Amino acid sequence: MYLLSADGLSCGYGHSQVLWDISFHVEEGGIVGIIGSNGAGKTTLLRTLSGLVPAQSGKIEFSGERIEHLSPHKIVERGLSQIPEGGGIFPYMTVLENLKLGAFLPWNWKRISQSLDLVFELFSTLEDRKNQMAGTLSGGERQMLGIGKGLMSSPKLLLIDEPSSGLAPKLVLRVFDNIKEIQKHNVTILLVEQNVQYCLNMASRAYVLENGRIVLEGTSEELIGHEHVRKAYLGI
Amino acid sequence: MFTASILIQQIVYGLVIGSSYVLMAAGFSLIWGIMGVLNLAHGEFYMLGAYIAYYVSSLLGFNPIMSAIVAMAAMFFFGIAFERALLSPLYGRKGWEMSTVLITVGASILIQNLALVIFGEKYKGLPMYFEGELEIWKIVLSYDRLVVFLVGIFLIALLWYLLKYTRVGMAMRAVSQNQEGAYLTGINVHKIFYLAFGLSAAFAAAGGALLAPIYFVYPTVGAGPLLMAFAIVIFGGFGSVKGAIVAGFLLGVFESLVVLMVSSAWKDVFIFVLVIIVLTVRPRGLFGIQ
Ligand SMILES: Nc1ncnc2c1ncn2[C@@H]1O[C@H](COP(=O)(O)OP(=O)(O)OP(=O)(O)O)[C@@H](O)[C@H]1O
Ligand SMILES: [Mg+2]
Repeated sequence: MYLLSADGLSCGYGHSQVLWDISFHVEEGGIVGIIGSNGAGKTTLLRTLSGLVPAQSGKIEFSGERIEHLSPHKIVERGLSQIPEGGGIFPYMTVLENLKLGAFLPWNWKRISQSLDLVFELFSTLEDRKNQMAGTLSGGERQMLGIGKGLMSSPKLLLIDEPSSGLAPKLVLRVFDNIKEIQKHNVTILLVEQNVQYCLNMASRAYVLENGRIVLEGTSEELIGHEHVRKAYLGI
Repeated sequence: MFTASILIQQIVYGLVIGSSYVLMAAGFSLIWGIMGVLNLAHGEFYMLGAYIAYYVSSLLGFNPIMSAIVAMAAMFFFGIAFERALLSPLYGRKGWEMSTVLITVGASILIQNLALVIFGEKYKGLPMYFEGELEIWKIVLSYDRLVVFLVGIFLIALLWYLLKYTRVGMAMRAVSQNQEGAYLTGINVHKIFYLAFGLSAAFAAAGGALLAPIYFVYPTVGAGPLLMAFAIVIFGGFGSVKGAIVAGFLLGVFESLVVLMVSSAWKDVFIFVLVIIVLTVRPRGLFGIQ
């Protein structure tokens, strides 16, 4: 049984359909990647998995339960969290308040100090800046806060949308190191990236999304060696 | 000319009224910040709070503090029922925030007319509850006003604490800053909507209940405070509770001084001229977010 699987998923906004017949799965442990160019529908797919966009047809199964009809907070309660692009942070609250809110669910709220210790151990920058307004953080720090906040919800599966967007190459490496680090804490990761090289280095398997459809899937090695991926995404 | 003590006296009166305005405006601003809804029935929450306090005091002999607590509790549930029945069916529809303007205006008119039928048009006033007055340096403050002021301050501090430090209060701020982020944090946004609505109604009711022993109660008594809440929220910054607190006291004092130096007939004119000046100089208000 997979941790997450989607079968024949279609959805869109109003009358414009964005995703067609998406089927994929994520096994427990490890990192699975989704790559695709601008407008391919990557964010929409993550939003559908989190319940922010209703599925028009198809099913989503998480930990053996159907979740496509659930509202977003119920999905988070089941252990599926998302870090949207930009980190999903609250700009007029401090770093500490943001992290605390990450542990909003009652069972997480009770063990807030342990989770905080863990996050501060991973990201000492966040501890140094805990009383700073989140909106005044730099792009890299903001991304770190998003990841820290996601960790506070002690998820089974973390969806991360373009953690590298808007970051300088050096910072991108840092953020990806952070992601590898949290994966060691029993968190499975579904990573959406435009930065195909990095994504395939991180993930064990990946899917290629084009115009709302999955056109390729395979292990990262297979995809790196695949002619279409090399031409269209790696520019080799 | 006025003596210093008259001036100070009037400033103190302004702070007393200001505390009621703050209670009124903080909730109004909260609902705007969290839901993007301009609740034009907010004045009716004030009016109902004042009537509940009036009846509880005059029929059951409760003291003003107890009456305010009863009014707040009752209006907390009324606020939730109001949101569930009238606003929640609209959520998710295109442009629903705008349709709430019509709905809340309609509700305001309906509640006012029901009040007219049920409570009558007569002005109702309560006798003084705490007799006597405090006198320091020639400034006279009746115990009734003092109690209103202290309870008002206590409630404002309570609201501040709720929003700043409690789990639900933090969730309310989260929803107002980044609704999608709040969803993804596991916050039940619609639950936050109705809790905020209940809270906002309870605090408006407190504003009305606390002034019931000092001023009169009548079916349209909420219109003035609603207008004032508007001015305060523009002045303090839309969606900012901190702004509502500062601006509420400032405008309360300003109003008192206008009454003293010009006349009470001119106070609204002065207040709105001030608001227009603020809007010109600093459109987002004192603490507003761009
Ligand atoms: N709220 C919306 N309403 C209508 N159409 C939308 C909405 N959000 C996205 N779309 C459309 O859906 C398509 C897919 O968008 P999506 O954001 O999922 O792409 P993406 O793969 O994440 O792209 P990017 O790499 O630029 O983030 C685009 O054509 C976009 O215009
Ligand atoms: Mg995207």
